Amino acid sequence: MVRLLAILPILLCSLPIRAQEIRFLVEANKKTITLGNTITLTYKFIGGNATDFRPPKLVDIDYASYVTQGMEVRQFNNNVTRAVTFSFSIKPRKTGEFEIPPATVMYQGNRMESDKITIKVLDKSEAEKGIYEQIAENVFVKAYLSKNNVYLGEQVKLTFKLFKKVNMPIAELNYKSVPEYDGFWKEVLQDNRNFEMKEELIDGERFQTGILESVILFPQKTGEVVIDPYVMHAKIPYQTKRRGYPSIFDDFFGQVKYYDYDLSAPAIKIDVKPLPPGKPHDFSGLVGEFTFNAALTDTQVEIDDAVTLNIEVAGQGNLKLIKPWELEFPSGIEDYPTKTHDNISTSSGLMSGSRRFEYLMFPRREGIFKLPAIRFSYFDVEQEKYVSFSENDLSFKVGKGTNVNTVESVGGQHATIQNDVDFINNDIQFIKFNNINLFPMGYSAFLSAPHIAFTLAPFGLLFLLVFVRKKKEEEAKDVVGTKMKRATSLAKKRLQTAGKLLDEGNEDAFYNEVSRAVFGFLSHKFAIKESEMSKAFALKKLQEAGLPQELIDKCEKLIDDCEFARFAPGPKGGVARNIYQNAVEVISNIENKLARQ
Amino acid sequence: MKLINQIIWITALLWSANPAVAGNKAAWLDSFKTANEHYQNNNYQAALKGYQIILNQGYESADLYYNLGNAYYKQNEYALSIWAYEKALLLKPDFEEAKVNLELANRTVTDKVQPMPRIAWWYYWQKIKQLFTVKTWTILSIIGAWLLAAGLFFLLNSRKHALKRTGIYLSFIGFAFAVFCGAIAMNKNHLMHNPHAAIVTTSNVYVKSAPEEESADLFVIHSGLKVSLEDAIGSWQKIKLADGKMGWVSTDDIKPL
Repeated sequence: MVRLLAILPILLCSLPIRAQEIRFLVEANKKTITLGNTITLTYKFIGGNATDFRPPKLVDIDYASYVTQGMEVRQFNNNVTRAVTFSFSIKPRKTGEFEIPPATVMYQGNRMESDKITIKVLDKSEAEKGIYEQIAENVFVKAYLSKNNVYLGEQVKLTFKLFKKVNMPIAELNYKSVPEYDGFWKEVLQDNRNFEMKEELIDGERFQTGILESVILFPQKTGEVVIDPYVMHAKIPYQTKRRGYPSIFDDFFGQVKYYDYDLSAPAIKIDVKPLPPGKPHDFSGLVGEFTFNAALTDTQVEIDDAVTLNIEVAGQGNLKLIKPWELEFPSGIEDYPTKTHDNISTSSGLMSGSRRFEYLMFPRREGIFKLPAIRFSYFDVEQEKYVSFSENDLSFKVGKGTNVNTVESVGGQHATIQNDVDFINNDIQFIKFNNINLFPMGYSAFLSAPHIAFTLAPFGLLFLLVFVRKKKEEEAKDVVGTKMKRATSLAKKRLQTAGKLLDEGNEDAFYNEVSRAVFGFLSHKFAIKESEMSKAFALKKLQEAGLPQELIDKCEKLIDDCEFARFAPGPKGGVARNIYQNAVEVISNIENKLARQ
Repeated sequence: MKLINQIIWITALLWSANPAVAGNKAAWLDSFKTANEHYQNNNYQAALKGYQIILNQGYESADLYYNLGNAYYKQNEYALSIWAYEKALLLKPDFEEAKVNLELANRTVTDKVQPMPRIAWWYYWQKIKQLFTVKTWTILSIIGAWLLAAGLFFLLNSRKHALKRTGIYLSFIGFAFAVFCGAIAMNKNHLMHNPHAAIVTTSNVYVKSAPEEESADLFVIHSGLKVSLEDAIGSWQKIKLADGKMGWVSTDDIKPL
């Protein structure tokens, strides 16, 4: 080309100019480029001498070089074609399809337009997308989750597996990021330290596969828990070609370049359900399927012989969560630290097996020893409910043994080892069913009727007592009143005495007593002084008191009879009894009449 | 004197033993026994229902609350069993079984609150108050009133100087005794009929800084915790923990004692 250009001026001068077809063409070195690269456009004017080349007006495309002018001469079949060339580079600023408007030249006084050309500008990634799709089909990571809707604490198995087509070239494969498993308690089955690949036939295609990581997860929080993706970084070699897109299966010639490619399984979502309500008090936190067994090795031993209690939980689930039971052994048993025996396997892909706790006990006394209740409960994922076990009736008998028990002696006296009375099981006290009672709600003894009544009662009592005493005192002061009150009782006393005298036959004394009774009665009743006392005065007082005449006459007759009998000699016989009865009658009649008034 | 006593007794009987109430009471006492039989047959659900019906009918007693608490406990409703035991102990402070069971039920409570220390006499006062029921304190105050009256009687009625002096002392002692016991009875009676504490019944409760749903969460408490009650606005109740923390909760989350 250089050489050709050098001889052009000579040719131009020497060759005869022939009439030619006139054309104005445009060529591009490539029609599709990626953003950031340049395209060289060459405009060719054939058939004449063109001047004043004006490049096209470009939008969103920059000029990457100056316009260089040249001459091209082609000759075949003695036909020489001469062309004037104008070339320059352009660099698009954005992606898309661009139509380059025509350039113009002056030819024989006319302005001539060139052809148009369309170029295509692609994004770099867009351009490479094809290849990444191709890569993704040939090398990828897949995640396998055993269950995506689980209960809190239920185990799930998660495996990340790498697949690679056998003929896929990979230059390098690195771990970029490994999931953290936030919100899970994990048990690693296999990790990338012992990564190895095997050949596998999938849909008739040969793949190399290998488990990157396999874990058993126990969700520790509820809700939708997201596990980060497992990301690997691969470097895939390819060779550039002059035209078209590169292909990974091309032979290696010349320069080798690498695609950086991240392989990742998508993020995994696990729906973790909370455990339903109604959790038993002794819930162990285990979720899965289990069996429970608690047994003693011996039920009949001698003192100081060992007895072993085995508690075993077997099944599928997070067995490693079980802690030894904190058993309160009855006093008289010496117990040793609990031993834990595990037979837990993950070979099936899920945690299963058994955990056994061994309690070694040495009874130091004879008798029957009852062990406290051993309870175990877990959440069964199959039945979706809590399952409880309990072993209440473990007991063993300890015999005296052949060795004579050494009795500890303190101060020469037999000392019994005293122990507190401990609770064996924590159960509530039984209900009350004897002497039960009910009260209306809101009833209160305070300010109730009996309260008020009993509080006021003593003061009422006090008032009455004081009042009664005061009244007595008043009455004591009233002498006349007292005398009048005493009259009847005095008269009664005298009459009684008179009655006795009559029975004894002492008639003189009898009459004396009767008359004293009558006069005494009258004088007290009507407050007559002794000096004023006479029959006439007394009768007058009776009349003043408004007593009936009949009674007054009777009274007068009584007094007269008494006087007469007192002083008349000789025996009077039946008269005395008559007088006595009259006296009683008169006194009581007067008393009654006065009382009525 | 006999007459006065009779009057007192008749008034008291008429007052407290409303015949209609008395008749119902006997019937409910029977259903109380039936519920107890259910409990004895481990049919806790039925027993629980039986006790609740009696409560809804407006009857109560320390025994009823205690048995109710047991039924709740057996149903694993620990918060409600705590509430029932506390109720039983309010009515009968020296209820030993209720104390034991309350302690067992309290072991299920998540929150451990360190009580704020108080001055010493406050503890003595609480101890003294817990000695007897309202009824016993009332009877004691009545005895005080009788002593006062007896003292006054000697003072007013006796002629001997020594007896008069004894009367003065006796009336002073009686008066002080009656007022002291009466005050305790009144205080206890007030606390019994105006709840000042409650048990949290929702499994976890966010305690708010203000009586609004949007207000900030101050702290979380769990079921079974005993809180004291302060102010109330609408469906919001201000509560105070034993360590002095305060905040607002919805009245649905607590059951007042």
